[in-house]
Amino acid sequence: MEKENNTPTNQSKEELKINCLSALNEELSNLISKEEELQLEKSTLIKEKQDRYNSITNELSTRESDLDKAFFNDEISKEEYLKADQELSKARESSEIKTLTKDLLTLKKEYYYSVKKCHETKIKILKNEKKLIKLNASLLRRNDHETYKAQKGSVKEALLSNEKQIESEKKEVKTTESAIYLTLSKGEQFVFKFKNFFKAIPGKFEGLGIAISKLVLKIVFGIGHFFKELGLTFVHGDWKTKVSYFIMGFGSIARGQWLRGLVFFIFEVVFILYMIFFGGQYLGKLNSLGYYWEASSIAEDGTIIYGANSFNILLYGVLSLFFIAAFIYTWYLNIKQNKISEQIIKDEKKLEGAKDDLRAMVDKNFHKTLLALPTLGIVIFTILPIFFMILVAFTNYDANHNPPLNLFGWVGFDNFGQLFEWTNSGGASFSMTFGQILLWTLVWAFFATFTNYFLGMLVAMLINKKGIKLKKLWRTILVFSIAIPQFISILYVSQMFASDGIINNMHMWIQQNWFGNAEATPIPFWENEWLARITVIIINLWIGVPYLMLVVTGILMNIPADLYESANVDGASAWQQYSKITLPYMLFITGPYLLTSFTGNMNNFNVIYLLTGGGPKDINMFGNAGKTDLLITWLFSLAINDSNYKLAAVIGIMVFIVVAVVSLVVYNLIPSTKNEEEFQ
Amino acid sequence: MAQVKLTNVKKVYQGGTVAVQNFNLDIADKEFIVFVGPSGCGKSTTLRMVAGLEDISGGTIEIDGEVVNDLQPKDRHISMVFQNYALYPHLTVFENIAFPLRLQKNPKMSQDEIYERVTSAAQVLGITQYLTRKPKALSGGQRQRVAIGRAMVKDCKVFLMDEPLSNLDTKLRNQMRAEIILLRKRINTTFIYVTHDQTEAMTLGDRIVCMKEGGYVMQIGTPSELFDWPASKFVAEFVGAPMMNMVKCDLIKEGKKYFVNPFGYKLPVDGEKLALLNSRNVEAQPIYLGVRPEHVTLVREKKGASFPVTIEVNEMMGSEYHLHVVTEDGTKLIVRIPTINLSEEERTKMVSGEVINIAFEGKAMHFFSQATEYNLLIDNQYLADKEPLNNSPVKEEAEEEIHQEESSEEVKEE
Amino acid sequence: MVEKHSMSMSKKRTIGNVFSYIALSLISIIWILPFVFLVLQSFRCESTGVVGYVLPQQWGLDNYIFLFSPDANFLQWYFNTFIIALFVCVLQTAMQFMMAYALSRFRFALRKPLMNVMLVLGMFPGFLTMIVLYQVLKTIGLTGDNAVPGLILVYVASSGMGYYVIKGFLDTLPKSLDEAALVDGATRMQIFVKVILPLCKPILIYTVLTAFMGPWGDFIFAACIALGSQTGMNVAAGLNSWLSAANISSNFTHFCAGGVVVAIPVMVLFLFLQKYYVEGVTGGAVKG
Repeated sequence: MEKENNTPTNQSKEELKINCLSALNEELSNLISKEEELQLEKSTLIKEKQDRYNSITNELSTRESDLDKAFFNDEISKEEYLKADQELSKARESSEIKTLTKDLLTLKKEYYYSVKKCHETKIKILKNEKKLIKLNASLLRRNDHETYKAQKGSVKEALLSNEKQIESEKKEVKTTESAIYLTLSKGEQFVFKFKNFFKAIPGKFEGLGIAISKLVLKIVFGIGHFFKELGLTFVHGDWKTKVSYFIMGFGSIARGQWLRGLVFFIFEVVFILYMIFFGGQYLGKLNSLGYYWEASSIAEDGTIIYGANSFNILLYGVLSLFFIAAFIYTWYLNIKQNKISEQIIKDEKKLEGAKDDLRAMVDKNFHKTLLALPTLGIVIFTILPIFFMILVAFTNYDANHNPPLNLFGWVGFDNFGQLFEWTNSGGASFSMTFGQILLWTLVWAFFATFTNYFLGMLVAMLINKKGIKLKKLWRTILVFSIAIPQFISILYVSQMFASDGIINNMHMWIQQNWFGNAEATPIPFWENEWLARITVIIINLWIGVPYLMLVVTGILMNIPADLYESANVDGASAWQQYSKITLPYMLFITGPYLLTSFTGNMNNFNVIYLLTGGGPKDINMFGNAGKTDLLITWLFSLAINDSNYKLAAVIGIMVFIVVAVVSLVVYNLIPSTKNEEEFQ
Repeated sequence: MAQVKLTNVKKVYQGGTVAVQNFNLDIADKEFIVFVGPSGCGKSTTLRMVAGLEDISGGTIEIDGEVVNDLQPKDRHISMVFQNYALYPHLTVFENIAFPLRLQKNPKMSQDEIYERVTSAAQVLGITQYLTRKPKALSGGQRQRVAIGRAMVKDCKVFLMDEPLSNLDTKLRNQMRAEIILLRKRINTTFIYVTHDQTEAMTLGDRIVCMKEGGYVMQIGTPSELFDWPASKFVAEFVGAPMMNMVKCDLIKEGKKYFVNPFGYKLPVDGEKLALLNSRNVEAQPIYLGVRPEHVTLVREKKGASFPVTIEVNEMMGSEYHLHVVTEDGTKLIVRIPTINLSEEERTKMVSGEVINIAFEGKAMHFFSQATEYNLLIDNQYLADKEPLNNSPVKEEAEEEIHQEESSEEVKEE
Repeated sequence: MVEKHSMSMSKKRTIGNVFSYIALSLISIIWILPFVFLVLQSFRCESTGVVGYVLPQQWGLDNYIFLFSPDANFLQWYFNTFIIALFVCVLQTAMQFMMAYALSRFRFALRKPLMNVMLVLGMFPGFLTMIVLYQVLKTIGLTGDNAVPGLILVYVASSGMGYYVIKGFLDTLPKSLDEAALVDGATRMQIFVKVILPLCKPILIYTVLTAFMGPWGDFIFAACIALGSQTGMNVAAGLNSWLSAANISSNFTHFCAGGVVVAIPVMVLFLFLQKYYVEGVTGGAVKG
């Protein structure tokens, strides 16, 4: 009874869906026809107005030519001619023409908007139709499998053509959008662009979401596949393969590929030894990072009794985790190797021996040989430490919890929570300081990048100007400052601007001897908050301009000379040539470079640290931060001076997030010139 | 002995673009094969698959009976000349040519033998005086010779050339073409030569493989086969210069007689072509009527099957005129007339705006179906392969979607 | 009329050029003056602290003599830095070339992920790793007096991440060279060594130059890893320690002299290899 009931309701559900969709589509097509009526109305109106406009302007131009003719034939005097001419130009600016052009633009805009709406609705309809086709197909499949099979091909074709139609409609929408864009005024165009940019963002997120979900699916399926393959290989493999599940490399050695087998085997032995004698103990304590009673202590006679050390536990625990991951991967490779070898033997082909392996290392697999050392270095000396520091951000590792005498432990998101605590009873708040410094970091990066960019361009153009001699000399003088190690020049310049430095001495001397101002005080270059900031940016010019000069010179040479020649012929002024040719070209080529130099300036440790050391210091700021501190210098002083590693780690992560976000956004905005295959 | 055999060779790039579709070819020992076609037709890709520079997505390539799919280029016993010469800029000409010899192992080649081989190759190519120079100091033609020298010093089974002449100017190209013919006699091995220039293909090849965008093989045959019996409209238009005239009209069948009706005239088909039409029992249908410009003749007195045309442009080539003419119904044609057949007076009349009479014989006609664009008079084994659209990635995706839908529904039902 | 016009044109240009020369001279002075001051201060004998005037009242080589006397550790620092720079410029160049060549010429499954990972890693501030590296090196015993090998290890180990400029250069070398060599019978390694490397001379010099210059200027890692040792420091860290509040009054002119001594070899190298440096910088920026 139940069964009988079930099917019809189920069916009717689908039928209901179909009915719903069809109704919706009908409604939508009604909408379209309405819009089309509107469009027709609009287009007739546009035509009327356009005709009117044309007739007026035509009449005016015929009058003008008549007038000209009359004047040439001396039928009218000059005064009369001028007067009539004035009248004509007045007529050209008459209110009717103005309103006509305005109306025309608005009408066209409305027309195109309605066209766009039509196309968008059509896309909706098409999408619904797609669903309908699928629904119908599945319905048919259940009811009448034979017919379904017969019609499968046509269903596919229908879907395909549907897809194509949607594509073409989307294209139409785009072309209509560009038509709309043309009818807009400049301000509106900007708003339009702006709107579109933000409208595209959800789409991008959607794309990202889809990509992530696909990735997750892929990983899940990948893991499933992994286990399935492992199982199948075990079941179908011969005894050599089966032994290899426990003794890595056994199968390979047994089949004569002793080199590979030996490498696998040694890896396994090393792994086991490592785990037993070193890694295992740390791994076990990773959850607690050591309890306080396990900490080292100082015995009565002054010797240190070593106990657990959170730092080592975390570090070597993470290392062990890395090692385990590498081991699992190698184990998997070992099994896959067995499977492949079995297949080759089954196909009666030759197995690759040790000699072939060695040869492949310099030939087919040469990239693996090349990459082995650099990537190993990166894993141990960059990825492991970064991973470690990210984990530190979730602990209370600071001056009060500094191993070996005091251990630290996990605290979850507490440190990140401090970023959002706006009131802090115990002095300066971390969050406020962070906000201030982040803001200054961004401001600094912006000014440091763009002042350098434009001044560097200016200097480069000066040197490369036609008629300037001794080009090489000027360039060499500037390049000089790159050659001298930065810490020397920056430290010296910083000293120059100190209150007892050369600059201030000269300032005082001039004040006293030229202006008779005996009470002159030194300029507080490094003491005043704003002056320090400005000075830092200006001195940064001194450091960065030579680089930019070199870069810009290289690019200036590459701008095709005929661009300037044709501009000259067209009578463009120097400024026009710069703003219409040089600047756009430069911006286009150096887009990626600007981005990297922006993020580089955000982390420009040397300049700030050597010039001001972050000062002037402010007691109202957390962790002895100063007014010119960047996130990176603050991070440094927190870690080195205050041993506040947990917050340093938090700042490090925030720096990463800011840099990543800036890079992503900017990279999507600039016209990318990167195409690595293009050159080859 | 070095036969090369390509069986169902296919190249699909990542992302689903198909560069070569089902390529089948047997190359005999010491044969000179030319791959010709417009850019993007997959001819270079096929050559690079033979060389081992591209992975083979499907099918097998055999050299001398051995499947070489998984062999490294150096183990395939091939030599190759590249389009941009690919000379090592930091080595002298001598070292460039000696490079492959120095790399040879078991047996390692002695210094004397290397010297011997390089100098003799240089002598053949006439570049002895440049042996100590760097490639940068050479002209394009000389560089090309060095590249050929480098390829020929090695003992190889197959000699591959990838558009070797396309970077040279016309005069040098003609000269080098002749030299390649001589070279071939000297080296006496199997050649595969890729070019986009149909003249090169016709003059050099024992057999020609004509390919079309998308990696389709359109015809394989000797130069005269391709010229006289083009398998499709594509081949007909690609081979021969100026291009074959194509006129849309109908093939009309009246009993045992066939007619065509270009520009409103009704012309009978006669001779060999009529016999073939009859023996194949071709249906009446809309066709492209193809006539080569050199097969159109000038008719001095208006006779039965001639039509008046108006000259639009006369391209003076020296030995011949290429007349661009328009028929009464507006169809544009090209006519090629040797100047030697024209009197002084007639030559002065061959100018824009003049009306002349032209005609062509039945044996000069080619018939291509408008539906398939294939020649109605010949069978070609490659015709069956052509199944465009079916492999488009969009479709596969749609298919996948259906499958997904199905599987999810199945889950629901359970 | 015409003559007058051309006169004004050339006049305009001359005036423009005069302004340009003035601007360039000004710029040159601004850029060179600090160095002139630095050199002048290094010859000051009457006092060793910071003073407000430029020209020494008493000229002499006292400061230089101090540098090379056993009282100062300067020679040790200098030697340390030189050794570090030597090793780093060889090893770092090798690492970067290995990375760049593999990424430029091979297409393997993990290529893109690898490049992306390195890009992301590059967004983390480098100092984050310092604390950990210090501990690791301390465990192996490469800090303090043994800082030199420790520093070399730190500089070289992750240097593969700076492969971009070299890869940009390698990408411009035609792939057909590799293919020709492959057909000629070369292994991938032979191609790298015999064909590609000889063509990389400009970028090779650039890489060596920058790698050599790096250790002369780095003081933060060096100071950190040499913590507590006078003999383990490099020049930068050592000179920097002379400018600390406690030392500046007795060591400022020594610092100036040391700066000059450090700058001279680098500058000489630079002047000779300027061409390659410029090529590298421009290429790196355009493709960067």
